[in-house]
Amino acid sequence: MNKQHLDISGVSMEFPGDDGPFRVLDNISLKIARREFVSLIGHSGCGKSTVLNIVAGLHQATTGGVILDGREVDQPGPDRAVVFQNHSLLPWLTAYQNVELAVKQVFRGRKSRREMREWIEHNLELVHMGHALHKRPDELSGGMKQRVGIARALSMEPKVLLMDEPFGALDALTRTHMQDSLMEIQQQLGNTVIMITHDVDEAVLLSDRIVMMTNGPAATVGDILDVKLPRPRNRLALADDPEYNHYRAAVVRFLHERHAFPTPVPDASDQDESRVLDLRVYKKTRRAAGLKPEKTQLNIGFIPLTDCAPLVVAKEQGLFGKYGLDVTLSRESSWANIRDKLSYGLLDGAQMLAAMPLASTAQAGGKPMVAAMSLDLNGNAISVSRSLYARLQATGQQDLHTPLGSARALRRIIDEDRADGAAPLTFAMVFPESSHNYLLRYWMASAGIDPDQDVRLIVVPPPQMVSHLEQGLISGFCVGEPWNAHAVRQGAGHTLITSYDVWNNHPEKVFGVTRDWADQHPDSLQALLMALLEACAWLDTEDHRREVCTLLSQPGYVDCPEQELRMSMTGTFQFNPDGAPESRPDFNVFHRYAANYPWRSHALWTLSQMLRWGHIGQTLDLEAIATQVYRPDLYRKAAAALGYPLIAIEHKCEGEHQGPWVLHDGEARIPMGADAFMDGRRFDPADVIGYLSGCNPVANERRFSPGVKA
Amino acid sequence: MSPLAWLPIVTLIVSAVYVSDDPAFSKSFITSAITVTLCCIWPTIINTTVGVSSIDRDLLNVSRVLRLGWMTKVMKIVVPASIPMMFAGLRLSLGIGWMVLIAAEMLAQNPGLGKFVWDEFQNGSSDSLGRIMVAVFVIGLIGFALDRLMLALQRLVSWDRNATLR
Repeated sequence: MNKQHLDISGVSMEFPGDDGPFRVLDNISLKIARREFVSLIGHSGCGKSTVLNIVAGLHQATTGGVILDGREVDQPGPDRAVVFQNHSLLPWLTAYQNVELAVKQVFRGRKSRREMREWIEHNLELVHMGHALHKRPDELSGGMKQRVGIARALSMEPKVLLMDEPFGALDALTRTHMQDSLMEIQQQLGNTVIMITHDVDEAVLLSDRIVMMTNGPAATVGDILDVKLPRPRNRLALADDPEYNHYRAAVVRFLHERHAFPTPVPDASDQDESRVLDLRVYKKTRRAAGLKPEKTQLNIGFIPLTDCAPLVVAKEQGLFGKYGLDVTLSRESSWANIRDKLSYGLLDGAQMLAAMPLASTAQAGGKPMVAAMSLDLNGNAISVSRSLYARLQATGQQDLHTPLGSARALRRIIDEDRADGAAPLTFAMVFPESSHNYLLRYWMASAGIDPDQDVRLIVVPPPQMVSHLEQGLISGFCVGEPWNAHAVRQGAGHTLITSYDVWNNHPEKVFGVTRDWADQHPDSLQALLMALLEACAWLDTEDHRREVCTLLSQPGYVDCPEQELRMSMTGTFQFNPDGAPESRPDFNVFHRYAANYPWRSHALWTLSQMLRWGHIGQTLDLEAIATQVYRPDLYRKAAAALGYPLIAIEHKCEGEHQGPWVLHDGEARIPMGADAFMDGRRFDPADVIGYLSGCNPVANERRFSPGVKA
Repeated sequence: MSPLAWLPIVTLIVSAVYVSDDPAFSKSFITSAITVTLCCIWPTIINTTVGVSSIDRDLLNVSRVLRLGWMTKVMKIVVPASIPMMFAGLRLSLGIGWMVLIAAEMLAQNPGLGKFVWDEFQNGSSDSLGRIMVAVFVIGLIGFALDRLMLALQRLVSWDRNATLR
């Protein structure tokens, strides 16, 4: 037997381009022995198919050449049969006639009519197509067409069988059947095979050698892996075989680490960049198993804020695509817009304030909604105009940068104004049912200010806050980033406190869909949750925060200077225009401290505040609403699919922890952040009424009064 | 290319060249045939050219790998692949051909339906309009029947069962 059966030596390929010749392949040399099964693997566009076409004779190499059994390859021929990716059967001929065309051509004069017929039928039997001899391609499934394509190639008795991603267009199940068939045939006939594939498992399972190609342009052989697994190989037995997994890992490592980039091995300094690219490559090769999104074209709404980052990351890193979704992010101008568009089905899902789905479900005329995951914790701040800040300083209150101190100073100014008969101060927040509103009110009420009587509270969409403050239309606001940083940098205002100071690690944004949508699209929802969970986890790796700021600063997203975005995203905060940035590491929490888990106690606290300020009626069953809207069950499904830690409990006592703690839940040990309130109170979700009774008294009769039993 | 502009030229040439004591076809028949051919052949030619040039590369690669001969390649690959386009052209040609034939008969006074319509128009008797109307309907019906005939032929040779032919 000739050892050097096929010799590809020094093959380079250039195509004419606009600026000189474009080098696709560079000096590829490969010696293939008879009966050997060789796979070519590499990233899309690296020139694998060009190599195959040169061996087939369909292309001519610019330099170098191919020698098959001592003869140079200079034109196509049946001794190098090709199985094309899209089967390439003649659609006007039956399976039998397609093979017959090849057999007649190759064996003309060598076989009798009867022999030919037997040979055609034999080859079709070999690929298990004996039952469909007289069916035409349009009557056959994708896998069956490819079987006929293989039969046609085998019937030519080729010296080398060339396969260009033969199973690339088939679904996963058909593909495994085809691979098994191919192994069986290879075992029987012992053909020499060169196969192009994208599929690492396919390559390891089928090949004797795997040729890994570097990325183009000027692609060449990067590495060759000898697969010394004994034959016949069994897919199931190999799944747990350490040797198999070793080979698999070697190929994956090659594809992902060493040659994912045109540049050589990245050094430590640009490691974070390498991780991003890694993720991008990764998404192409892994698909969520078993998930069949009912709807794949999705419209997701967001508001330009730094904490829309999970959506932007999931989109830009292709995480939505990884789970089979094609998501369009729709930048909305206000929270009311988001609520309405979601209610009327113009959006499939949206970034929402944690209180919005609760309010929409609880209030008459609202659409029931579902929040299956929290997108982040914290992220807001309370800022006041320069003039109000000067007056606050003038009160002589010392601890102006503590929540209680600043609230007391504000109380004094309000009292002064009332004595002078001046109009009440106007404060803005972003939406009535928002953590901004409830935390602003909580802060004011802690010093005995009645937010409905002593000040005027208005709604202003986040992007318009700073201009309202500059024009003197409002004296202060509570808003998410980057709009506080923007006000401070513009010199329009001072930030007093962050929302973290009012309630450590409070719930902020959730991912909301309507309940109907959630019921009708369970798999789409799970795919969305998985993509967003992965994005959140990615975001909470410190060195990714800078990178995401570059993304967010783009016009389609937040459209704000990168420096301002970086301020809070990287854990620093500048309170006044002249001061230095201070460290606030937990200003934005996207994933750590079980941040994505939809705690029902969070929902109940929000509902308690709605009750407190008369936004919902007292007759409602709060626990029932919390259960309908906050859906830890959906979260767990997505988290389990990703292998993230699961939490069994659904409530926790808020306000119990002044610092970091560890949640012990069954097997899970989850590090958690502080959850203290500014006034040190404790919120027991089992006793909402008791909690509210202990709050600062409020006078308005529309609101909750402790005397009335709920 | 106004199709009927060919008519006088064809008539001149036929009169000069086709001289026979016992002609197998009448001169007017030859003139009509040549004019109609010249007028209606173009859609078929153009469509066939497009059809042939847009054959799937992979199918041509198959023929290269198999080293099919020129004749086999044309018969097994090129012709079947371009049949849909060819028939689209043929049906256009047939429509134009019928139209030109009627007009040629009117202009050149070759015997036929066109001449009949024109004669009745010149005649101007009380029955003329009725006769013309009958002729118009007959011309329309024949045109329609010809198109259906071509469609039936197309269905007969078409291999693509997914394509709806109408």
